[in-house]
Order: sequence, then C-alpha cells, then structure tokens
Amino acid sequence: MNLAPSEFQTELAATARRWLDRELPLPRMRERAADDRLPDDAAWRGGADLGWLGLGLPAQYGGLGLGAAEEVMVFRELGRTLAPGPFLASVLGGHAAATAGERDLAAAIVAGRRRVGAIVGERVLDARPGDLALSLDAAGGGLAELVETEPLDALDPLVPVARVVRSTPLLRVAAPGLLARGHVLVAAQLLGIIDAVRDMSVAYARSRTQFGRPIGAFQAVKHRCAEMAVAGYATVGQVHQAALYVDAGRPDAAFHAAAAFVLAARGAYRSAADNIQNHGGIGFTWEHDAHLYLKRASVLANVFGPLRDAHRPIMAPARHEFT
Amino acid sequence: MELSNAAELAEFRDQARTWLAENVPAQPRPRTTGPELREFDAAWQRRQFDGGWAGIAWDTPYGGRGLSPLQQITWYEELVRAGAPETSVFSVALAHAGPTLIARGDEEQKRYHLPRILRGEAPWCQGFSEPEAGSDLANVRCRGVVDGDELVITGSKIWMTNAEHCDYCELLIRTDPGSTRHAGLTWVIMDMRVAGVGVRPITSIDGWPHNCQVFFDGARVPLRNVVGGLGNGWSVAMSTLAAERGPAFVDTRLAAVVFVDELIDHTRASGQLADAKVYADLAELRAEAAALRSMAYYQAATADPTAPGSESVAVRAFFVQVVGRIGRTALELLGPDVVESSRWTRRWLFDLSEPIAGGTIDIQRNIIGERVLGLPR
Repeated sequence: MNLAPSEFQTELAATARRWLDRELPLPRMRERAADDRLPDDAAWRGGADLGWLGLGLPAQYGGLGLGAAEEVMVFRELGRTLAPGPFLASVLGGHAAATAGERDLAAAIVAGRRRVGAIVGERVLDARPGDLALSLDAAGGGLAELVETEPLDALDPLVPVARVVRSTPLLRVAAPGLLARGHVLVAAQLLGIIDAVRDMSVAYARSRTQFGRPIGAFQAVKHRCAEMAVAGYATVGQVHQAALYVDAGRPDAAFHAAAAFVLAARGAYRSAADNIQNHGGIGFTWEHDAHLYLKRASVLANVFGPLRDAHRPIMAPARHEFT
Repeated sequence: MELSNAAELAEFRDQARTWLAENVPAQPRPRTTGPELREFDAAWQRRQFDGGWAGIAWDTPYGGRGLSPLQQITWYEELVRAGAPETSVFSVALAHAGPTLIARGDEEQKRYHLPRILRGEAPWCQGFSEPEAGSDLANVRCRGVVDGDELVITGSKIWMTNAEHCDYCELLIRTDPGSTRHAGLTWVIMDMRVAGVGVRPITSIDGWPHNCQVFFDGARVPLRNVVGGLGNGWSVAMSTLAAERGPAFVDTRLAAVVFVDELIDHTRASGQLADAKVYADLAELRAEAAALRSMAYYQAATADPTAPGSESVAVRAFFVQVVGRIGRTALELLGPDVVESSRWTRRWLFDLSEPIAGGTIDIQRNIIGERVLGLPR
C-alpha cells in the first residue's frame, strides 16, 4: 500500500487549487453570498468541465473513470478554499444515479446541468426547487426532486439551508459503499480545513506582535499551531488509505472511511476553534474569515446525520484487520 | 496512492503469520531484573534471526534481509497480532542504535555491530539525558578527554532504559572542553563492561526499574568507536532522535491498535459497551489507533529515509496523546478494580512515561512549531 499521491494526483490537486483561487475566491464569494447563487451557473459548469463531478464514474456517465483516490485530492482543495456549492452531494448523487442505472440523470449531474443538495433531516443544503436532493444512510442513498422549499437562516453564510416543503422521490438505491465514499470525501474536505486554518494561524502568529514579540514565540500559541499540524498529519494517511479501500471495494472500507471522517472532524473542529483563539479579538469578528472555517467544519461533520453515527461502522468489525 | 503491491505483501504476510504461530515464545517475558530477562530476550531475538525475520529492512551485508519498509511494517503487524513480547532489552539497539549506525557509522562499525544486534548478542542502551540535560539535551556535561587513541569518559547519564542488561551504549559526550550547546559534542559507541562504569537502577512509578543512572569515572573507549567524527555528535544524535520518534517504534504504535481491540472485547464481554459514552469513547479511540497505522504507511511512502524529517515528530506527538487517551479510558473502564495492581494498571502507569521519554511532548510541539511551521523561537 503506497499512500503517497502520484504525480498525476498531485497535479490534479494543484490544478484544482489554482482554479478555485481564481474562480471562487473567498473574499468575492463572501461579497456575493447574500444576493447570488454560488457558484453561478458558469462557474458550476466550469468545475464540471474539469471533470470534478464525475472523477470516479465511468465514461458512459460522462465521468473520467478514476476513483475515490482522485476525488479526495480535489475535495481537500474544496475544503481548503471553503469553496461554496453542492460538490459533495452532487458527486455522491452522480454515484447514486449511476448505481441505479439512471444513465441520463447521472450524466446530467456529472455535466453540471443538475445540482444535487444534501438532505439533513428535514432540511436541504445548497439547493432550491428544481434541484435534486440526496439522502444518504448506511444502507444506500436516495434522490428526490425538490418542488417547494422554505429558506432558513443558515449557520454558514456560504451554505444556504432550506426546509423541504415538498419533493418528488426519483430513485432509491441499496448501496452500502455510498456512505463510505461520502465519509472519505467529507474527511478530505475537513482535512483541507485543517490545512487552511493551520496556515492562517501560523501566518498571524508570525506577524502579530504583543509584549514586543511575535505571538508565535509564546508556547501556548505555538503549541496550538503545532497541534493543527499534528491533526493534519494524523488524518491524511487515513484519508488516502480509506479512499484506496473504497476503490477496491474492500469489506473494511466502511470502517476506515468512518475512522477518517471522525479523525478529520475532530481535527477540524479543534483546529478551527483554536484558530479563532489564536487570532484573539479580531478572530471573533464577522469580518474575519476564521469563523467561516469553524462553521463549515460543523456543517460537514453533521452532513450525514450526527457525527456519532459514524461510530457504528468503526465498531462493527470484531477487530482492526491488518490486511 | 495505490494498493498495487498487495499480492506480494500478502504472501510475505502469510509466511510471517505461519512462522509466528509456531515460534512466538509460549512463556511471557520473565518479571525479573536478573540475567534471565536478557537471556529470554536474546533467545527470542536469535530465534527471529535464525528464522530470517530480523532486520527485515536492513542491508544484507549486515545480517538484514534487505527488504522494503512496507515489508518491515507488515512484519510488525503480524508480530503484535501474534502476541509476541512487546519490548525487549534489544529494543534500543534495533530501533535507533542500529539505524544510527546504518546512517552515520563507518563500514567497520556497521560490520561489527549490526549483525550482533540482529543475532541477539549485544543489547544497547541510550546515554543522552543527564541530570542537568533533560529536555535541554544540548546542555550535555558528561565529558570525554582524548588520551592517545582513546577517550576518557567522566560524568553521569540518566534515564538509560535497561542499562544494567546492556553491553553497549549510544553515548553523547562533550569532547571540546571550551564548547557550549550543540558544538563540541561527540556520539561514541561505549562499551558498558569496561572499568569505570557504574550502573544504578531507578525504580519507576509502576514499581519496576525501567531506567538507570550510569556513572562514568575515567572509563576508556577507543577513538575508533566515535561515530560521525569528533565534534559532530549533535548531528549524529539528531539521526538517532529522528529514528526514535519516527519509523523506529512502529511496532509499539501498532500494539496500541491491538490494545484498543482488546479493550473493546473486554467491554463487550463485561456488558459495559452498552453504555453510550463508553461506546463513543472506544469508537474514537479505534479511529485514532487506525491513524497510527496509516501514518506508518504514509510516512514510509513520503518521508526521505536518508534524512528523517520533522514529520516523525508529528507521529510521536500524536502517538503519545493517543496512548494517554487509551490509558484514561482503560482506567475508567477498570473502575474500582483499580485498587489492585494488575496488567492494566501497570500499563496505564507505564504509559505516563510516553509524553516524557524521547523529549517531552512540550518540546515536540516546540519543534513542530519552530522547524515545521517556521514560528519564532
């Protein structure tokens, strides 16, 4: 098992990062969040043209025939840049439609013509009437078409939330591997958040001066930054391993994917909260970006139901098999 | 990222598993401080060597198998699953004295010492810390004076695990009397059996004398035992610490995975797993233990083996925190049974040494902050 990204996988991530920095930069996304749908249709199709919505699907669905190992490379960048948009549910929705044999529907999602929001309880994230909505559980997934929704006040200003008033069920597939893939992709996104807040904290700790010294010289601040680096390093290998296991269809993929998700969620929660602490008063302001990382981490950690639901696949195996 | 070499490793794993099933010592390690302990460990090490399972990733001219780091990890996985002894008086020799010699020793040193380590003939201990040089390792005062073709050693070292059982020591001394801090230090292969070496065991909080203080009073060591040249000791010591914090103790970290599985079995059997908090705590522990394993593979795939990097410090920093949480969880599960000294209480107490040994967790975080993240000192 080689957990280092290949040259191609590394380049895939680098391309994603450059594109996201250019097309969906956080300052501009923040300005537009109140008025516009994000990303706008042109940018959403731009991401689809790069193949991001079908990386792990075969060509017959418009996909690139790669796997979760490639999907995680892009999702880490989506997390790092706090990209708005229903990437997660759309990628998983494409897999659900493909598994159901709904070729046209899968192709429409992959091509960026249909967006898929995520169902969270009675609510839906990042979707409006006419869009699709994905519900996911340990047994599989379902797609519905949203007919009527009622906007709610969102925790994360870049992740719109609405109550589902009416929707039309389209399909339901028994696909236990779908939640494992979801766990891996969210874990990668949360890992990207850990990366981002670590870099943000380090930059601030080097430049902000108090008592005549950069605050990064103080052990309390330095150690919080160090723990962010540790959290990222402890998570990346597990994310990569779980992605490979999902691609191989291994029976322990659900365990390792859920473990990656829990590690990433805990690491992102703590790192994003510590990042606010490291910034002091300015970190508590709406204007500063620090709160956005914590909010996104909270949304992602609960997108498939309560975080503790992920404990079940972790505890399911009699033991952690080393094979 | 790929699983590609899975088939080849599967065959290697099968061979390891078969051999271990027939060869792991039936008796536990003797709970004694006498010579039986070294005899037990030496016999087990020799048996692994004879079976072709010692020094899996070490080069063949030095008695190793010359295989890949991934095969080394696979061996460790099977070793801990087979319930083999978790530690030995050869641990320091195998985990960081050997790797230090491989990275920095001369040909004669490697040819003499490495096979003796693998064959279970010569256990080593580590002589870095001093009463006045703990986390501040560069404050070394133990001195070596060149006298002809020998060094004469005077001073004291402390926290030397198993020193009373060992033939050799990784000894860090100050050889330039006018020097301070990192300059003027020398890493030398010290023979512990020569005149002028006195060993005093120190009883630890679990009642066991894991460590020793060692006194050097004019003990002599030939200059040819210097590793990496006189005055280059700090740099050689960094190679030792990189091995110690990183790839060396993969078996110890994998043993934590097995221990969490045992904890889960134990709570299932005792009915405690029905408690929602216990269930949640153990699930999170199992996820963290899984990360200990994937980190080993990630490190093997990404770290430069010739220049062990700062990521090894992150591995160590994560490990000691996981061990701490495992210990606290085990203690809670133990409940009132804690009043009796047992395998569980001994493990919990011993594990309190993990965030201290090899540089405290506080120092590890400083290193990550300063050398990995570039924060000011």
